[in-house]
Amino acid sequence: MRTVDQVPQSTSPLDRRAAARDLWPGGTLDRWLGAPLPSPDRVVWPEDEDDVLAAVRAAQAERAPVIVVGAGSGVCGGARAEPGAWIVDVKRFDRIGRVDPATWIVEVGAGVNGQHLEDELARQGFTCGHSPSSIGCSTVGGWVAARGAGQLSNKYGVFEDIVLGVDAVAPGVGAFTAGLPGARSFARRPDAELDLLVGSEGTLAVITRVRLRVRPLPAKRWLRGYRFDDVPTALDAMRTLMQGELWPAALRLYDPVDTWIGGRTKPKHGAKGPPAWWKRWLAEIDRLPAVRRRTVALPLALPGVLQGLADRLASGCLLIVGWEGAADVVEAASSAGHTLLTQRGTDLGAEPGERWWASRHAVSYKLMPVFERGGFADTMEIAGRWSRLPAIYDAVRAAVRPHALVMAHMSHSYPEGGCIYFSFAGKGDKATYDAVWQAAQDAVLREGGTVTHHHGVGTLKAPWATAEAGPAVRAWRALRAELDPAGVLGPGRLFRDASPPQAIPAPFADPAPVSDGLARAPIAEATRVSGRLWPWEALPLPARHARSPWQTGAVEVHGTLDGAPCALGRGPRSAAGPDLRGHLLAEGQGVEVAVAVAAPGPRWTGRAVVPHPWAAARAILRADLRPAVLGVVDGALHVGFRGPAAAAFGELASRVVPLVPCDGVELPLASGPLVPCADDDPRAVGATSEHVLRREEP
Amino acid sequence: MSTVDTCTLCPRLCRHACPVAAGTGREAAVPTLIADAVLAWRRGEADADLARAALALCVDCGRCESACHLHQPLPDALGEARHALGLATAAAALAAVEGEGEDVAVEARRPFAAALARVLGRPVARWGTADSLGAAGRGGPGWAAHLAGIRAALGGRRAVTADGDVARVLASAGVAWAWLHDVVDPGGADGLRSGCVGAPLAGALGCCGGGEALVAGAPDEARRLAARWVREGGPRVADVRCASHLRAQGYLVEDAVDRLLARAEGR
Repeated sequence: MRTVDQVPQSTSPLDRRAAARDLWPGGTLDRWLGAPLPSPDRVVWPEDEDDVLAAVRAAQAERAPVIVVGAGSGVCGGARAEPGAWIVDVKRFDRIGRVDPATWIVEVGAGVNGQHLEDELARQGFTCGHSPSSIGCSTVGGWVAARGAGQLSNKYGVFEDIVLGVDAVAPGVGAFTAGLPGARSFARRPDAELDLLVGSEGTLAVITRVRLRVRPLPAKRWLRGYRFDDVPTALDAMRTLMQGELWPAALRLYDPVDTWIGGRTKPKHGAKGPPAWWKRWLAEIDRLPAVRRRTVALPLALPGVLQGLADRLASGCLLIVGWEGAADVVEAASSAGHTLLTQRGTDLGAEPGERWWASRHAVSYKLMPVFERGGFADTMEIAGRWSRLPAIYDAVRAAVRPHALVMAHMSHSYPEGGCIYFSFAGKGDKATYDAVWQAAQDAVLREGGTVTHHHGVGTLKAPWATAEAGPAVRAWRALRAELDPAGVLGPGRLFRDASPPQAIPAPFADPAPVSDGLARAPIAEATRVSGRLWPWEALPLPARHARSPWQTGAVEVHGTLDGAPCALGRGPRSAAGPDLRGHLLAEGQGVEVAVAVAAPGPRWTGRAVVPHPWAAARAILRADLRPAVLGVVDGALHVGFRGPAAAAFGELASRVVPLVPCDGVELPLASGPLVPCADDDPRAVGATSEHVLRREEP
Repeated sequence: MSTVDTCTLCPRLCRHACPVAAGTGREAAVPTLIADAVLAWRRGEADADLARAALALCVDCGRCESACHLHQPLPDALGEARHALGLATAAAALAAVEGEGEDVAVEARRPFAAALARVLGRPVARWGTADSLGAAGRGGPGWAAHLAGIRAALGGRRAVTADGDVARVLASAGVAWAWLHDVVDPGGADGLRSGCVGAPLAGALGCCGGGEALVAGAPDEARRLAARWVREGGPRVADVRCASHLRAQGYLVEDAVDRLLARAEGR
């Protein structure tokens, strides 16, 4: 049994200081204003699971809070130290395995830097497709812990779609595996717990290793910009693309103020600007400290006036659209997408898209000058159904306007809704900062949105995340009681101890309009809803490693827990902490669910009689195609596509497998516990890009 | 406002480019946090020892500046801090370049001009230096004049080096320069690994840990980096500074000068 004294660690002032704060802008503002830093007691650098266990059990014995840290790039205070805490820094879990060529799965240490991962995967010919703007300053473990999303999530999925299994350590149970197992033999936990560990932000266990699904590097990338008159029109175009099952990798809408400030609908060169002598004079003046400290603070002291000016000057929004992947799939999807987008938008050519691509990881560099000049800058990413997004957008802008300048872009979309990413800039004092967050989060909850999309909860959003999850927090509490009975892991993060009754706003309680691509029904009837987007045999869905990233189940879940009403899934991705919808589905009373339904439009179906139909199905998925129908009837493989590119996708699938067009069918996807099997296993009932699957035998 | 101020506010965006931070996992080595420690000392929030301990974690490879979209000259700012804290000495006076030739072999740590001339079959000038062309003088008084002196001494000729410290100075001076192994074997077919200077930003490990300040101030980290360098990359290195460090750690390594001498002697 290893003791904590054998684990690499430091109590030096330098290391304790370095671990004091994460990248929460409120903490950066504190630091800039000279507030004292929170000082942890020690920093521990475990190198294997035994080290982690020794550290967390010793911390438990001393009742010391444990803050798990990777790169500390969280922006919600989740990785911020507190006095007396022990920092468990996982960056020495830094190994990147070889991609298994048979399954396209790779095992990676939780402390691996995101950019290093992509560099190494690229060397092996692959990508995991997760490309957040923080890629150079964040770790894989952090992506799991905070349920991250990358800029290409529309194609590759958000991070819980990419992670197939984790190894972790908790003081109550030791080292364990959830989801797809790796090379090490740790105790297995139920697959369903993977959904609770992803997004748990260091409050349930210390994640040490992860298994990820990867894809071959894209053969082709297609990028373009479009101009739309206003946000609602552009949002509708985005909805049409996603419900048309065209799966663009990048889909980024900038609102008029963001478009104006970024200059994104104007050509970068050749436009007339202020004369050079004026720019030089301004630069000279800006060098004077007394001026520089106020250049942003002064205008931001009148945020309403500034916002009014910006709103008057700004007009039109820029939409960046990009496809990448297999060349013929990109060609088919982009051709259909371009036709849809130019019906209401103006084509701006490839340049805006290519410009965004070149600077896609540089956005955070814009924050420093705002702080230096006496202001603060922060961001808030939330999500909602398509029908609620315009109201949420308006409500947040109105709520923040008295305190700060606000702009927004929308960069993660789903068939059922999307994410709005607000950027704030305000006068650099803590009272203004706190007022912005209070007003903005209240507005999101009131309008039926989810309070976070991919930045996590931390301490910053914990009150609102607790209100959003309501009685379902009990699932997290129950697991925490087993994994971390002393409650030393990340206290105060994620959820508050006391839960107020869940406030279920009217926009969320009402049945969603059809335009959201949702249909609501009691759970027993949900899999019989006509035209389901993904026609599963039953809910809940099989484990993550047994389904494709884009295949969703119950988007919204409504019911009661312990007699209290509970509703989850306000957005297409309910990311305020772990995904608790499975708990409400399994344990709730009177449960109703809203499932995604397919939009009307073209359909294509073909069938083929081939020796190993599920292996052929996997070949189609590996060819970068996303069939809506994928099933085997009487030994024949049936493949179906929907949307404006259905026929083109069908033709491409026919090049992989000799499909013959046939009448449309709606085949249910296998549900229940599924396990990988051999390509020629006669018991096969499903496939992902990674595996052919059969039912798990009792 | 200074570079250190700006870096202190940055979300640590250069972390992936720093070989010490990447290779050791030590948060205090992230360049923006070294800047933070320096700022704390300058503000009187922390004592000088904290800033000295932070600066010991920097091998002055310059990759943080290369990775920065704002092109913040953090290495120069940290150099200034080293001088202010008495950790660095001013550059020594430059010696004269000896001999003729379009290439100038800058000999730090090991001589190689004669062997290079024999292998290339043409004259090679020699430039001796005992302090790696004054690498420790970065950011100190007279640094700009020192760089100007290097430009004048070379007079448009190409400098050739096998020493990482020299390479950094040459890059700062903006003169034409090349690694010895690239001159001897253009295309790098001999399998030698470039040192951290000029290496691409990709990858987790760009340094063997051979910076003198790191070896002296954080020997555990220097040892950890050396072990990882050899484990992941093997025993061949381009940089004589790396080789010196790795040999001190007990590894049998071959550097660019070893290869050159073997080739010159027909081995």
